[in-house]
Amino acid sequence: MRALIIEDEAPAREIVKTFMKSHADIELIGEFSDGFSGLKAIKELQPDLVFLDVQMPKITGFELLELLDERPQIVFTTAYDQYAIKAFEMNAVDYLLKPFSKERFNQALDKVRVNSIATKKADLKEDPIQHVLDTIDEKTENLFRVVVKKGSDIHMIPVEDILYIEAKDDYVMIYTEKGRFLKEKTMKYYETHLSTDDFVRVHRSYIVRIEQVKRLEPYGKSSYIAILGQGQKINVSLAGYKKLKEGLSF
Amino acid sequence: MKHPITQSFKYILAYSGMWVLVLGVHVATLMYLNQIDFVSSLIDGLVFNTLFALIGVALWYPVFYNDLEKQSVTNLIIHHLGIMALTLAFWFSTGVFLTKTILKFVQPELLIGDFGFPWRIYTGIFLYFALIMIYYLLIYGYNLREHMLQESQLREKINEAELNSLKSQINPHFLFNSLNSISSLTITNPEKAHEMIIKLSSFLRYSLAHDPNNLIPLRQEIENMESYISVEKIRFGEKLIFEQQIGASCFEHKVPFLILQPLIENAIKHGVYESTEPVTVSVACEKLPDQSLKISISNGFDPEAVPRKGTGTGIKNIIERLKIIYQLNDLFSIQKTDCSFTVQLIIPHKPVFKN
Repeated sequence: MRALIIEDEAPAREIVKTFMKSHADIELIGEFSDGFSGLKAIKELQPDLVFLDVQMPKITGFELLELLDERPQIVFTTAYDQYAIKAFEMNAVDYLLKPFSKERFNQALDKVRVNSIATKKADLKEDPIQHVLDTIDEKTENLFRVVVKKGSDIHMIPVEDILYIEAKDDYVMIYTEKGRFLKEKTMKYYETHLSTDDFVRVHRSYIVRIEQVKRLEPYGKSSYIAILGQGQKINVSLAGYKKLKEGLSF
Repeated sequence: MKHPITQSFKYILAYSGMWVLVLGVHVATLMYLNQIDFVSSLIDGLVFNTLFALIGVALWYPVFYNDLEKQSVTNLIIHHLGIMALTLAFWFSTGVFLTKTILKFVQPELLIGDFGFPWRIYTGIFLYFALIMIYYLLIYGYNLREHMLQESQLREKINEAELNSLKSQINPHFLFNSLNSISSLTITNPEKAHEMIIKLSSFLRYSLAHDPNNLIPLRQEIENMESYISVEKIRFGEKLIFEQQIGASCFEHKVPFLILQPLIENAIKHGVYESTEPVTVSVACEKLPDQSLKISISNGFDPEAVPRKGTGTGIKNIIERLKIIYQLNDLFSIQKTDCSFTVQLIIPHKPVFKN
């Protein structure tokens, strides 16, 4: 198996390398110290396995994974235990809490080996653990940026720049003043991860920044149309109208 | 509350002095308005005023036990009218009896009758109310002082508790990442691991051992900061460049405990953690003409990185602590340019709040 290490601290890379030496079937093909170069390397080298830190310069380990179309097997290595649930949401094989023992490291590799056979058959989307994780009412911290890919470019959108979000089948379209970006995420995700002080889900298909709403016009029997700062029009359901009223306090 | 008159000789003297004044007025009134001779007037004055002075000492108790705040006004008035009636009856009868006895003995021919009954009652009522008024005023003043004292003690306790809650805590992520580095170095570079354990230990010892409310010389803060930096340097290597420029006169200036390290930690977090290029973190200290200390901590940062928003508690806590200790609001300032972030602290010469 060909493995990569993406980790910003030299001693932390060193220990993974050292532990890896006693596994003849794992070959180290590169090591990187930030998210961007790591992302590039995954695309170019197509490793089977990545040891991935969460907190890194440029983009975090989670953001990196969101940008990959095909994911190799991931073992997270981090000192932050609060990310464990999110790591499994990302279908990580294992989650190593720093500092970790050699036994624990070996266990992770065992899982990787078992998984590499299993994943060839199973569809990841039917992972039973995913269902459990979806129903966990985790305390979510608000997003501060969204990382998106447009062609071969990677854009970091600060949450402050988001005007509104529109549902597009399995994707969402994120609208900013600099353009719109497609992202593979659910509306539910943004509804829970954006600050409710700033954003309101006004419709099944729309989440809008409250201060962008300039005017509301009745539309049909029990729905409305919101007119935004730059003239865009979006649908507002009755429930959305009520939420918006609270947010705007009128 | 102790008896305001008998608690010290000084107060007894003042009280007596007051009565000598009343005696003077009494004698003068009898002599000039009632045409009574000096000796009789003096005896009359001495008897009646000494009596009232003695009763007056005892009047403290009904005042003390009839608290203005705990009694209804009607109750209070009834109470005092009753006590006044008893006081005046006792005073008048005893006074008349004594005056007559003494005058009979000294100058039997000058024996005066029960002159001026209404006059004596008016005087008695006036004296009674004047006395209890003075007593109530004294109680009021005492309570006020007590109240203010309690309030300032309470304020101090609150300050102390606040300072305790604001003390900076060791960041668990720093700790675990450092332990991870050590675990790696024990295998790859045991000597460096040893060095890192020593540095980490001295940082931990410093952070845990001191009383968070103490003021300590800047020198110690700088030593601790250096331990912290050398641990981070092992983790981040060349990526962290550290510079310091500290005036010789600054080292003994007293500063709040653990005020420097959280700011350095912040600078490293926003500068080094988020950048792929080497980042300089620098600390400068200088004495200002007014003997206060100016500390600047700055870090470069990657202008392209979308900043991770910290919770800001580190900086907020430091601002709050400075406010409590020095009772000044403008000791903290932040300057941000396109690629650098500077925090500036002014540490005054002397604290206002001190433990």
